[in-house]
Amino acid sequence: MWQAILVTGVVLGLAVLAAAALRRRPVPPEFRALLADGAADPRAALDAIVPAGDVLAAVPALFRDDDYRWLRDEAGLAAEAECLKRRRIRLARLYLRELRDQFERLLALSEHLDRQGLLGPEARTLSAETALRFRWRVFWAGALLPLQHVRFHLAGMGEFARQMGVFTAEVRQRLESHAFAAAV
Amino acid sequence: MSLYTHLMALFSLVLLGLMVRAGFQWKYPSFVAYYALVVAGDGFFGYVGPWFDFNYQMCWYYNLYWVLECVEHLLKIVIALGFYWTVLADYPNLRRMLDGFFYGAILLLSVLFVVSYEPSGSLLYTISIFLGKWVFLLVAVVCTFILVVRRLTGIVLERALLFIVSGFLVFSLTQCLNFFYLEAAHPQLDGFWRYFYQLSYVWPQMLWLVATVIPKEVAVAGTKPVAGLQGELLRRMRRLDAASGEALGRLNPFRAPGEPR
Repeated sequence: MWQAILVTGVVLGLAVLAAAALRRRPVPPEFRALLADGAADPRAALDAIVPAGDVLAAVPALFRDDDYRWLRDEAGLAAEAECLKRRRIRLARLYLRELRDQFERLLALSEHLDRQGLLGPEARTLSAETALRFRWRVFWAGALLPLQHVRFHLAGMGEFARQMGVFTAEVRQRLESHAFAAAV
Repeated sequence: MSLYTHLMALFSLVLLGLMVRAGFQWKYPSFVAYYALVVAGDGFFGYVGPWFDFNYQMCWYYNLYWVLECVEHLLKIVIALGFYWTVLADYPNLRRMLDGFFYGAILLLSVLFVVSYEPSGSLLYTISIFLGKWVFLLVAVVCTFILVVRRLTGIVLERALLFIVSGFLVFSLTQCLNFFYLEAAHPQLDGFWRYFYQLSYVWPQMLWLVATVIPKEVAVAGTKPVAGLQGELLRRMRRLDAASGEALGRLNPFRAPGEPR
């Protein structure tokens, strides 16, 4: 009987997993509209995706832990330091979610281009490989996040955020030059 | 036999014809071979046998039944592995990344099969019944694996193949429930479970029917890959991938602050 219960659980788990895998990709309706059949230009969809750097570039100071250590060790405000830590961890989770959301949109665009025959075989392969690697990393990052409650060091995120800001500026500049060239 | 059985036999024949019309015998030969074998077996044991007064007391008739069952199970294994190889045929690197998980899952199922093996007097019977339920579990795992990989990586499956895989998934899941759960918990089928058992082969056939009639996706004539667009798309994907790598590196609790990654 134990085998029946175990395998029935596995079967139900597989059914739930498959149902989740068959759901539509979670992208906002306005972005989906850009990918609809007959939409004018897929580049508009790409332009609609704001690089994730924007999120971080605005708040680099939030990814530092020196103030947390100062609060806890020097000011002796352990409760406030804990509160700060919890908020930072929540922010890191939001950051990962933002990365995932943006990637979903890029992947939706990649699928759309593939269906339209606008994606070369090499690009298709690279897109799939990148997607798998990204999922793997984000999954483990999300799984490791609760450990930060035990050992907290998000200090490096500040520097990373600045790098992302530079990247964002580059992308903006490139898009603007594209738009300018198209207008001329 | 009930009217339902006659209708299902007729439907199976029509579906086989539609599969041939859609050219599935060239694209998915093991699937069509399996389905044709099932239809032929049902026809022979359901109609030809009784018509000629063959019965299961005849040794050849009895053995033929179980041999057919075995061949069906082996074909199901071939189909499941074939799905995986077909889907990832154009993605060799991706396949290398996934092979460990895929063959690991198959190995795990094989170990479970061997551990719970219960031999009986007839080898054919043992293979047909005992291997059969584990093959259904294997097919369910492989089909789910393919759907999850498609979801995670954004691989575009041909619509017909997607419906065939989904049909096999529904088929194998319901058969797993039949073999593993109903056999143990409801030896006498009645009420809901009786209808569940009767209809368990209808849903996958419906999905396979859709696979045969669904129009193919055809790329707009004259389209070609857009170099600038796909380049920018890939660049952004890689940037996000790098960002995820950064985040993972920084969240690693075993790395001391300031330590290079």
